[in-house]
Amino acid sequence: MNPKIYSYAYVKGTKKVYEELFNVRIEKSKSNIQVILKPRKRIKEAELFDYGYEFFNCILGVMKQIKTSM
Amino acid sequence: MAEKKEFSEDNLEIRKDRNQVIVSINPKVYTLDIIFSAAYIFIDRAYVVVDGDPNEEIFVFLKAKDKKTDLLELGREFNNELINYSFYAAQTIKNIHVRDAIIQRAFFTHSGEERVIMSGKGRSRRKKKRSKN
Repeated sequence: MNPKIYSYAYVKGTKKVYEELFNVRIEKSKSNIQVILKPRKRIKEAELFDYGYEFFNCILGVMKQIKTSM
Repeated sequence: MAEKKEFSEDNLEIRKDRNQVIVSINPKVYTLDIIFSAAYIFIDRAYVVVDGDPNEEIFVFLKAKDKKTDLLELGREFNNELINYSFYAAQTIKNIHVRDAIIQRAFFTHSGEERVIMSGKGRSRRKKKRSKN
């Protein structure tokens, strides 16, 4: 994802949410943030896509939570 | 291979094969904060991915969770939410001084009451009245 859009701090915050179900690794470069999700339990391939997409929604949730608490 | 563009209208581009609508936004009109606020409303109905350059053009990908969702309507609703949050942000800035004054007044009043209770002035007045009787 684009670090100009999704800042690293929010991605790191979302990592904590996902850690229960996935082994999460974040690889950060200047122009890209890559999140590698390795499921702890077996998950169907179709569901894996949904979890991937849901990660972005989860970032929005974390953002909202942090911004409203300030 | 280029993606098949099924339908496009104004700032919306619909890709029915992916069950997705792409909303293009000018960041000079809507800031990233407003875009995220609008996007948050849609997370129960769609997977929302924001991409693009915050200085040039921002793309919001709305991939509907339900296959029966009207994609054009979803995109149009997103445009309305952008307006809604822009208005809210503008009003907040306009009212910031009034809001601060109200909060300040509320704190001031509260701290005043506390001082009266702490000093026990009320009690001493009551005692004086009793002694007169």
